[in-house]
Amino acid sequence: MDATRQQIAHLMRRAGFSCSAAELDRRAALGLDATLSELLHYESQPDLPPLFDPASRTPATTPPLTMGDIQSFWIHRMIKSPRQLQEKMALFWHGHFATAQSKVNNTGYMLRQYLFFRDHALSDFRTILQGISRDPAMLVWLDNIYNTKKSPNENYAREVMELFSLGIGNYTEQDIRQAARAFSGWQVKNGEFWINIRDHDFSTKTVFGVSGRLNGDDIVDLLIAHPATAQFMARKLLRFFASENPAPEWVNRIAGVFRQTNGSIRSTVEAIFRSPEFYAADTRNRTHKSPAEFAIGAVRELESSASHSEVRRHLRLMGQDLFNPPTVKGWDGGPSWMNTSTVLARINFAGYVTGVKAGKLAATQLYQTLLNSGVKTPADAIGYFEERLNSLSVAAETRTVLTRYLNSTSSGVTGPFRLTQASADVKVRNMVRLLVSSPEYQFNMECAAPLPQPAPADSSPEAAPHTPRPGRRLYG
Amino acid sequence: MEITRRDFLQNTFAVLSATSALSFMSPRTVLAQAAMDGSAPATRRLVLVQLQGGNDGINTVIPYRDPAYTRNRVNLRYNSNEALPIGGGGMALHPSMTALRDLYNVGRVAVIQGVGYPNPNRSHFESTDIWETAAADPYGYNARLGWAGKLLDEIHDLRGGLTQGVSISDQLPLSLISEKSVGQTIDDADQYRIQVNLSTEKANLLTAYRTMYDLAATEADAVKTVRRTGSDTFYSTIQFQEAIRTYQSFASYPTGGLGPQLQSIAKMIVGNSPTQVYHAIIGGFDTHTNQRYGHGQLLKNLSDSLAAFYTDMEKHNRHQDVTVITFSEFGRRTYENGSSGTDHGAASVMFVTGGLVKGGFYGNYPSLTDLDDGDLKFNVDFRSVYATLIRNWMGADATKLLGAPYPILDFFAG
Repeated sequence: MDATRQQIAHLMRRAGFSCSAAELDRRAALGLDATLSELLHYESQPDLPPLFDPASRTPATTPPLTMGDIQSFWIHRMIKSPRQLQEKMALFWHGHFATAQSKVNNTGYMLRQYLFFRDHALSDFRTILQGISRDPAMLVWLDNIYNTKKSPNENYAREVMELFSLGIGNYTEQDIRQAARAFSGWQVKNGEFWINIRDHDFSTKTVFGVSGRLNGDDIVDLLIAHPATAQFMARKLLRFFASENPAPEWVNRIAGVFRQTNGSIRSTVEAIFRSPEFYAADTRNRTHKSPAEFAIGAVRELESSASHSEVRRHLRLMGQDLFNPPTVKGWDGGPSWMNTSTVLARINFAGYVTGVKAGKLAATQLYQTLLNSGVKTPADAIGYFEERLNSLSVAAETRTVLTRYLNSTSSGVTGPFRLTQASADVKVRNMVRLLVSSPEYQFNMECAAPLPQPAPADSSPEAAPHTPRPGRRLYG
Repeated sequence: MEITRRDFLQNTFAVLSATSALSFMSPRTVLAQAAMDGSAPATRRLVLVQLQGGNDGINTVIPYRDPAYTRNRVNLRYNSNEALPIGGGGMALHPSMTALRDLYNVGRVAVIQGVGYPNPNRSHFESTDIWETAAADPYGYNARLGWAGKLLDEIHDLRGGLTQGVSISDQLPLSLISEKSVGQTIDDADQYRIQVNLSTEKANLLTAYRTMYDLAATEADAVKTVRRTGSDTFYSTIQFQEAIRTYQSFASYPTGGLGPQLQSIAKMIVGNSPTQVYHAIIGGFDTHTNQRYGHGQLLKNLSDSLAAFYTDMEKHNRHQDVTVITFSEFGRRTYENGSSGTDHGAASVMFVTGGLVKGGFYGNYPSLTDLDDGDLKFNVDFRSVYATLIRNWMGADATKLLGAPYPILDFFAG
């Protein structure tokens, strides 16, 4: 895999939910710049027809939307949408303005919030913060519908500062109390945002030392103008897209872009994807995949015909129940994704996603593809799927385990490995399951250095040294 | 030599593989082999029940005769016909907590009143960190470890052998983060196994999983950690299925909320799992609005679950091995807000239950009129409760683990 192809593979994993080998071929031919431009200006790409028309399923219609409906609605787009960055940004915003159905208890509102995130995926931050402050799901989630002049409710005012813009330590309890009054009367009526002037406090408030008859939009403006916001958002975007521990200089540089462009998310995200640090080996290899990146990525890379319901069930077990983040802080991410319960869910999802015997993974198709790709030895089979899993590279020791498994005798297949329809269906299929379950795949370890030229093939049954990668296209 | 958890689990797995019908070793034999400091039996178990969101202590243990209560709680008030008086001191449990009331009446519930800490923090996340680390500065030196995690490390040093915490949730709580062991999370007891579609492939595939996660490779630390978590996952599924194989329930648990979680813990304890500290969690206590119904449901679930767990342990004759505590990041304001809810407050109440718990009231009920920035003043530092559990229940050095001496409370019998 050449350097450009590898960069694009990395970009697609981060700016989207990875891609199939065929898509990688197409993008490699386009080049990095054109790929980046397609991602950032996704309006130029066709939009995927939705699973159902959300307008036809308003909160009032019966039967009401289920969590399954709205989760599938989104998962369908994550898997299939040509506008990958739009869906990835929606996931970022969902984690940032983390709102949960567990309390909102209105799937129509939850779906509408997602549609807002999607419509404004790369808008400027003021537009987004103004919009979310008027969003019915958010108004319910953080109790602003109960925030009245007579008895202010501080929940939204606190979180909009602590978690949505400034970060802790940049405001006082007094700022929160005053800001709460500015948002008083911002409510929901007949499923729509409205300002109930009888509940709104029109008197003077003082927030961050600024006094006046402030309302919610004024608070948003004060938050946008606050120097902590650029820093907070730059760091959060970097942590989502690039690195769990971005260097302070990198954060400062990206925060500078955020400031100079008046909070343009498109420009800020573009600056991240154009940073040299983004393509450094440490950035590429040291970031834990979120459950959505892991699961949707595996579905897209393997072109599995996985069902939406199984994907969303496993996402929940892996700790990322869409539309139901654990708290208003969203998902912590990084190493916290990995514990015995969530790793078990990943192991079992790997079993599911490789076990769907349809399309590219139907028994006959799988065999035919391997045959056409010239797979003969365990090393060939492993190398072929490492490539197909978007340039994964597992440790030599892991490869030895996979080789031993491929050579084992069971289920009517006699070792050592020989490519037959039966061995493809049982042994290769489960070897791919192991690859998807491997520690390396949870990060997408890839070759940090330029890829080695084909080494002498070693097809001894026990040991599988570094595999020469098939340099050819995987399909066609 | 340090016996790691993995060594222990691997040995267990080897034994189980050799004779698959072998039941799990009794902790009374396993742990008796390990040296003890002599002050507490190694069969003791501690269960932390976390009430996430900030439980309204005032409507949990209710000063129902206090005029200030009546004044402050207009819509959210329970009068003497509704609340469940306990202890004869003018205090009552929330009306939904009949099961806990019954347990109190047989002397197995300690009520710790006025629990908190100085300079209360009203952010959910920071206050939770304070409770979970028990550190003066939750972002300071050594604050990345949980207080129960440090306890497990200490027990490991005293006794050797397996020390680990288990959380019945999808995320390991900070309380259980330790230096020497990786805590486990278990979501659903019966589903906690590696699923293999083709039964004839199971043995080979499981062997591949085991060797893949156990191998040592030259790789980044983060990858190593995930490999180790994979290994922990593999062995814990085997161990867990074995531990729960023989369990029979002797109590009727609530079907949602804490019920299934405490039942999973019961399965592990009865199945003689060596895990010493368990964690269960229920959310929804951030009752800013229309608190009356929802809070009642939560407290009913808490009360029924604690009582069922106690009964189950008692019928398995393990109740004297187990202590349960409840905690929440803060209480709520004394006065209700305009949306029939309550906003973030400070001092609150904790329950301690178990077969060796000396029931009754500890600490003083804070005044509803002499307030600190509108909130109840604490008079029992939560670290006093931890110190009592560390020293008098688990037999470790509380001052060392908490970094300072805290008064020991008297809620254990004998």
